[in-house]
Amino acid sequence: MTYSGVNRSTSGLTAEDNYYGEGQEAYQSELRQSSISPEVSEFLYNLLEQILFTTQEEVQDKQRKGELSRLYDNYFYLSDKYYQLYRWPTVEEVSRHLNIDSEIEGWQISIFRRLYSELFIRHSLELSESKAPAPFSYSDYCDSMDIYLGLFNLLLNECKEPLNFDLPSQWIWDIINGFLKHHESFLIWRSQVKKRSLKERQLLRDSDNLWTVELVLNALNTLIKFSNINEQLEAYHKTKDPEAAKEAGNKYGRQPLYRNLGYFSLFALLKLHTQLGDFHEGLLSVKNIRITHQTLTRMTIPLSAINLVYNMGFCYFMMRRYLDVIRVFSEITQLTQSWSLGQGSISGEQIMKIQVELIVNKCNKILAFITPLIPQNFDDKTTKSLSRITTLNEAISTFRLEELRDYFYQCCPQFLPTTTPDYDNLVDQSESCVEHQWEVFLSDYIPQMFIPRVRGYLKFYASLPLSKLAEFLASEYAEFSQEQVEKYMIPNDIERLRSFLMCYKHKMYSPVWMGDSPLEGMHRSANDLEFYLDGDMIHIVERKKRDQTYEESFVDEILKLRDLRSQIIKPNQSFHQAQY
Amino acid sequence: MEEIKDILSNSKEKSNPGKSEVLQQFVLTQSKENTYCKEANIILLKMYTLFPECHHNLTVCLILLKALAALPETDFVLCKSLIPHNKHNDSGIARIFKMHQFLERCQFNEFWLYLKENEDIIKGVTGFKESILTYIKGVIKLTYKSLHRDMLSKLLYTKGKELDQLIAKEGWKLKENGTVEVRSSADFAAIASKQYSSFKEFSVQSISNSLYLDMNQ
Repeated sequence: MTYSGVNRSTSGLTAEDNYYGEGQEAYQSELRQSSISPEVSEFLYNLLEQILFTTQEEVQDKQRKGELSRLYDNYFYLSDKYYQLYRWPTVEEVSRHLNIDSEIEGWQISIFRRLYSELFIRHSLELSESKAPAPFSYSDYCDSMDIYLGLFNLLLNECKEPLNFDLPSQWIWDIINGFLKHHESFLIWRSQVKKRSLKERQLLRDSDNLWTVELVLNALNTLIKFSNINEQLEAYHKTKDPEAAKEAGNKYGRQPLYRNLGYFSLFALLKLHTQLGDFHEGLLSVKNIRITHQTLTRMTIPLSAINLVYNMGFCYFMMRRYLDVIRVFSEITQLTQSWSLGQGSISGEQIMKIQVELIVNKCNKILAFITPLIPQNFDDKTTKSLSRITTLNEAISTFRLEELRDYFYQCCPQFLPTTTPDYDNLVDQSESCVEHQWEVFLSDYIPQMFIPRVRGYLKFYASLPLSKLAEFLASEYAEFSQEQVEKYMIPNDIERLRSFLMCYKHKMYSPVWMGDSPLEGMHRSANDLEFYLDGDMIHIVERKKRDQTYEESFVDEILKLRDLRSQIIKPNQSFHQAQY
Repeated sequence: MEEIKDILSNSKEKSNPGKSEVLQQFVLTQSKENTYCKEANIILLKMYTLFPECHHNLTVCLILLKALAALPETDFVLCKSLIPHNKHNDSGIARIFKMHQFLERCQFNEFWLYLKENEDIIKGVTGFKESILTYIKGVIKLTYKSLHRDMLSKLLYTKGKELDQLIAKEGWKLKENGTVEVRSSADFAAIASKQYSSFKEFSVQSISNSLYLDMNQ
């Protein structure tokens, strides 16, 4: 442990590093450990060494990358061991510790500093969200913005040529995801005006360009453009040949580092737009990604795959494309079985397991809104998890809206309060975003809440007069007051029932994905029960039980085999594969 | 038009408040010429959420009416998600929300009556009523095998000769007892059997993809 012995104030931070100075008050003694333990020290030396080495051309092989991902796992292990209550040492302390000061030239050193800063700030944010007494401050947010933008700039602009450098995909995903997390955290922190001190409010008032949505959108779009990932994916869909896709890449896009950065930025863009309530733009930003069993098994980073599927599913959910929600979600429940999560002792994996489960739970809750309307045949795993949440059926048929609201709040993404808060009147607006989306959803959902009961009756008949069904429903909904009947349009008379049956048909007739871009689709009826009106008589079309054709029994058998295979062959754990 | 294309294809321009004027103008053009560009309108609404100082109520109303005319698509719900809560009480916006509710719940007669009282709001949107009629006809085709002429008249808010012309144009048959035949029952049976296999279609497709890739590995 050799300190360079240079006084902090004169340690000669380069101009680009100046902004770290601002945040130092926050890292005062109580937030960090005073000395660097030997184990951490070894980690830091190894990390520096690896970064210096991997950038040399002759050692660009898989072994090196494996070494980096081992180190990355080690980072989680050390965070767990030494930094559960404290922040990691600042980048200046580390530089001093490793005896690298700004006089040492070379972008490798800058990369090391930037990457380390990112690990540091990401960990600090996580720390501030746990119980530890280390809240994120205004200057921390300033720092985090500079760290991320600095890292992206270093990777893209500051060099005229692409860097000859690579990182494990998991690390890249975590960087992109961390970038979004800081943005989200800042917007929420800012919107909680009541909790902000007078000084903080003054600082916020004076800085309207800190962590803005445009800034994040621009950064992600720049990464996507540089890596020309969209062009590569298009080429891949045309030819189904990963080589042809690489051909389509420019000098940046051909490198795994940039391709992965671009690829994950697409996921991030989808997530961000979803959080802003722009579900159309969200799906548009992943227009070149197809969710199939095949593509999903190729995604080696479980968290990225599950985030993609969840956000797409939620967009479909808000667009009332229920069959598509069911399709993407049932793929993911199959996949989670094949990921060997949380079996290692590494804390990184444990965290990942918890996060994956959290999102799978959300997916199941979304499905709970849909299954009462469209009973489908799910695979066993989904059915099992759904059996735990069938209580929603009750809530839907009896209009317990508060219960439904709680459910929606639990399964929706964190919506972002984008408008600058009113610092004088101190009204918290973080709640109002999700409330708004809930109301939009509810007004679309209410007319569909009669479906389960009506379906129940229709199933028993071949034909049924409107008046008879209206009578049945009137007795079902007898406990509702006239006011409620008007408000929810409860179909307990012929006129309202007629409207409802049309509405039923209309709501269940939506686009279904047919293999192209996620937004495209052909209109299909999601009804499993076909009926029509002949004057005032409802006729239910009997579905003839057909003999299973050869084709269908083959498909069934192949599907069984596929599931079996995906359980036996775990997805390739090697860190570099073309991820299409 | 060139400028619009530029905004649509360049993701950086999508969050540039300087472009709101152009997009606003484009909404007017769409309303006048009865064209529709969902992407551009959604981009503009998003801009309003990010830069509330640009917000322009009249444009929002026009966008909503255009989205209403796009029924049965869910464009209106998408737009609604992007309109901040505090704007929902604006009289224009609130009235269009009401119209949307009638249409979504298929209370068509109520919708026409409401529209008659609020005719002023759709001024400037060319072809609005025609688009709504197309939507309603679509819903009728989904639901009815046959219905009485009087009922049809109520749903479409069309009477006499005009209604007869409409029936003839759609190829529906008017019987002597006043019943209008919309579709045959065989049509519905066909829909039912199609629905059955739609899930298998996905499976077949994803299997053929995976077989293809397996062979190439």
